[in-house]
Amino acid sequence: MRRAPRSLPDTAAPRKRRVPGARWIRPVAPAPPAAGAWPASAAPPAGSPPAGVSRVADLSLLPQLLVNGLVIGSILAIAGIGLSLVYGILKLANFAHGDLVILGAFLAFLFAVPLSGALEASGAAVGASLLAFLLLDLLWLKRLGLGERLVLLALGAPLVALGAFLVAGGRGGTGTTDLVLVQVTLLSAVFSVAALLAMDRLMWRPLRRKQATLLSLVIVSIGVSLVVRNGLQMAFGTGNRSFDRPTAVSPEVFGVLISEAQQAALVATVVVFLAVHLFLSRTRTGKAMRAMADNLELARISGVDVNREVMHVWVLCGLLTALSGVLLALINNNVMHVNMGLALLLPLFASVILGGIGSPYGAMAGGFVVGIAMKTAGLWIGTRYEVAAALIVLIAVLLLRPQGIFGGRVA
Amino acid sequence: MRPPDAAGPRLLAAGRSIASGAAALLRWPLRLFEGREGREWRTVVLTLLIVFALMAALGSVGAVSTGVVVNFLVGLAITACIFSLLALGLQVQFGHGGILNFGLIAFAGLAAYVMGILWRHAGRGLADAIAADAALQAAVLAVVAAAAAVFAAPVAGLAVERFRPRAPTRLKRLAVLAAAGAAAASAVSLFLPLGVTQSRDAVILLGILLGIGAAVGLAFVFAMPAIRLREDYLAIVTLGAAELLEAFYRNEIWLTGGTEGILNLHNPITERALSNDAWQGFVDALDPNLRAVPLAQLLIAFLLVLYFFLLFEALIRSPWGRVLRAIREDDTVASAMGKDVNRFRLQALVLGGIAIAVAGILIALRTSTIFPGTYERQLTFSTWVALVVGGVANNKGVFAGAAIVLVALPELARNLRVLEEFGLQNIVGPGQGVAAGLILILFMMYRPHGLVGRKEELLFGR
Repeated sequence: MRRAPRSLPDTAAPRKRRVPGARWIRPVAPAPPAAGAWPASAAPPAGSPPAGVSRVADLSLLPQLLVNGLVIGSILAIAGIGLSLVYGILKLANFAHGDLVILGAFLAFLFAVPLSGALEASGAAVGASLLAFLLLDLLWLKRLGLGERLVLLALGAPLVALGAFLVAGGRGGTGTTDLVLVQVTLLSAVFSVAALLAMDRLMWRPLRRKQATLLSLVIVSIGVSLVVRNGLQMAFGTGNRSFDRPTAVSPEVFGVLISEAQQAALVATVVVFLAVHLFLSRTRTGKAMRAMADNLELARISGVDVNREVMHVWVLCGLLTALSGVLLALINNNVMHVNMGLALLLPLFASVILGGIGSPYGAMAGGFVVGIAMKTAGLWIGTRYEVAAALIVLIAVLLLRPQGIFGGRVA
Repeated sequence: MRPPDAAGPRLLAAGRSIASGAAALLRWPLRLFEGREGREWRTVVLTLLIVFALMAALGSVGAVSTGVVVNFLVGLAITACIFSLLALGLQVQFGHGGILNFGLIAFAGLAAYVMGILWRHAGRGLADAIAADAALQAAVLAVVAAAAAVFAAPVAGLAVERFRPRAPTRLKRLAVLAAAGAAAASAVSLFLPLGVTQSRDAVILLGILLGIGAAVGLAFVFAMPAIRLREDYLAIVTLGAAELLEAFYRNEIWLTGGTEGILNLHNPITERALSNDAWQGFVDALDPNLRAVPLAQLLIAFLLVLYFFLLFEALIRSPWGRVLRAIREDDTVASAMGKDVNRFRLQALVLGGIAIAVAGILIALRTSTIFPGTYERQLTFSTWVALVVGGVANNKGVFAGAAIVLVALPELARNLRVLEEFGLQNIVGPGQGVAAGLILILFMMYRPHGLVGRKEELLFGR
């Protein structure tokens, strides 16, 4: 019955665990990089010192690090949009955002590996429920009668289910192929959105009603972060999990190694940027969101249905966190770990505050700046202290321009 | 007119007054539980009793003897004291100062590591040098005396103000000086003669002082960029800085030993408890099952918690505390009244940081080891949960909160570990975190003032 020598609440079981390849995520002891595992160190020029042992900067690595920084920045940019909008519109500094990103990755993993047999069925079910949700959301404005809604649902649901079947049916063999990856990302996005909407309904909306202060929202979000992170550990264990994908050889472009996953991340960022831009500038919902970020009360009296738009913010946030989570695992050599989310939190906040709270474009720009700053700073201060660069950027912004580059305005 | 034999009534009156005095003395513990403060104390004491009864029941399941249970409870009591001190520091910083410190573990870790690094790299050599050199001995004794005097002076001042508030100021000063001098003298006598063992104790004491100094420095570093900004920014900066320090402990193996940690710290508490015959005899007389070292740890941890609790209670009731709370409520108003908002906040950060640093040092001295995993963000979050459960803006709350969240919850989880034999790996450990998170969320939503917090001083969740 003697107590354990360190009688501390030890929920964080993975204390000394090392994430292979995740060197930028969590500063760990220097590990010799596996060949082809992590492009930054996959094929360093001959004679380059192991990272962290010698602090002599080798400037020939700079182009590679710039690209790596861009890739990390694209993850931060995609994830940061949601954080920035939630921060700006709901006045909620969501300390659980990093954990939500990794939740997206783990949901994708869940469908890609343990549930891969049931992928078609779950795809169909999710397709149907997605359609139901979309229709219901559209109907919210149109004030249709119940009968009309039911008819619309009955017509639309089988169509989407069929579509999901068609998409899912194309996969052959085992392993997480590109197609499967797209499907599981969609599934993960749907479930992330569902989780965020449930959280909004159960916690954030009652707290908004009570006009809870910023402080209390921050503390509640810490609780959410604890629940999500430990819940993921319960479900998936404390070890590394990875998609069932072969390690591809990174192609070389102008002397810089860019893996397919990194290319995908960069392309995805461009697509997301365009989509978010069009959404915010062209659609009614997007305009309402920008109006709410500017001035919530003004938007409310101008006829914006605030509760509905808040739901839309969460939907956008869930879609983007799921996407960024999957991309994060992909560029990390398909490996994901529960603690990666929390490690993402500081860079995320740095990029959002740098870009100006509430500004999605600012968050994207800030994400790239912070990503590149972290990667290139690693050249001088060692890859294990990259997060220091994010902290320094954050402190510098807070001291010099606390309203951020974009001045806290949307667009 | 008086009857010649007045002895009877006089005796009667004397007896009556003695009886009423005795009755008052007997009622005095009950009087403690009257009124608002009393009700709060009642909740805290009741919580502690329930937690420790539960733990005693848990500990006695399958225990071979009562001695095992008693020692187990002593261990839990040490944990409770240390973590209460941790939460007390956070209470001053957040509950009264309104500073959202998510890097509180950095104060504890930094202090412990400064002490450990001093011992690891210079300890034995420095101790030998002190034992050999008279000049160094004088310097060390001077430091010991000064530290003891600084430590004792506030309590002496509090006692004087409490019991002789109307005394002339010169007398008060004299009393405080005398108390400080007495403390310094007794501390110096503890280290005399300055042999090898005492020199090692002195090195550890030096490390503790340096560690507390480092924590104060950290408070200044935290305060520099962010204290004049919004609370959420400070939260992010402190969280990031704590992460960075944690990475430092893990990676700078040449300095901190990395994940292996710092082992075999010289431990004055253990050494003196084992070598002091009077203490051994006292412990044996108390209960033959008790062991000398844990009881000494408990005594020291308890005295330190008591010290900081009394100090902070007095400070919070002082004009300084009222200004601090005014700043927490509305810093614009406070600064319009001519108060230097940033200075008060910095002082709250420093004072709370000292308490947290002492708690971190106690954690290290408990096992004479320092591991990076001990000083991790998990402990920060657990302490926050304990603070919210106990009640924000009320110093008493930390005892109840720490007992529930930092003692009972981990102990329950440890007892549920048997479930892992039935194929439920990864359930119990993370389950503890999930439970802590849910407790935090539910308390924030439905009882934001916690067990004994004050609704009218609530910072959030109206």
